[in-house]
Amino acid sequence: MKEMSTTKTLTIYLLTGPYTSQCTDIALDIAEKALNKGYKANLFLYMDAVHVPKKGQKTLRFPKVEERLRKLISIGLRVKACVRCASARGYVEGEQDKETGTFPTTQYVNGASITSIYDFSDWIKESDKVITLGE
Amino acid sequence: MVNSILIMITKAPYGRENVYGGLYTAIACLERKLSVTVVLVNDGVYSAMKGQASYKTLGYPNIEDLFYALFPPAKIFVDQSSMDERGIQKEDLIEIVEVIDEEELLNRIREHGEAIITY
Repeated sequence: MKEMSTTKTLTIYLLTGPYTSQCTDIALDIAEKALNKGYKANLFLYMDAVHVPKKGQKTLRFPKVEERLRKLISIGLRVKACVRCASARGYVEGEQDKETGTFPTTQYVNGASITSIYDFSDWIKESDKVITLGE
Repeated sequence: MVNSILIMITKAPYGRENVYGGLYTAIACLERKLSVTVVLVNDGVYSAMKGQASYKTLGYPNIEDLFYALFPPAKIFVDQSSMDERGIQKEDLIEIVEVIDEEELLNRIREHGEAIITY
């Protein structure tokens, strides 16, 4: 019989891109706290939030979202972006990989993938809490 | 584990991507057998207006058609006070929506708001 996991899961649904508002920083703050407390954390990127994992971000004074994202991915944050939104914004560079269900891009940091909105629905079902940030 | 989702749309259609985002997410959640409730409040009530011709005029997908893709099994509620503020009558809206007052809105949120996503 399959053993049920007792680790609670948080899914954050982010709708806005970095720097135009504080939402991305807040999402990453919440994810970091959750991971440090031993929870599983998911970040699903929708609409302009698909810009969040873009490589090569350079900011003068603001915290670098890319660096924080890389760090959180390295400690377990799962990051997926909606293919419809990512494709519209030029991130999708080929056909879907039939095995992984992801779409190729060279523009994202390692560990962030482009996938279907259906993966968000699956994450909702396995989550204990779902938080939306952005507008 | 979360089994139901309430999608609250607060923005008007076409000027922003939000309504599409909400309704495409709702469709995906239905496909994955989640119980889906859509609530239209504030400028979100404009999303349910009858006779939208966005494909012809803007070249955008028609939001009215997306509601028909959701119902049934999803339920679609419209906030009466938001309609009143904007001079919108029930007859102005597509027939598959249900108009509710603030108390009923609160009850729907209590019943179906296991996870709430706002657009």
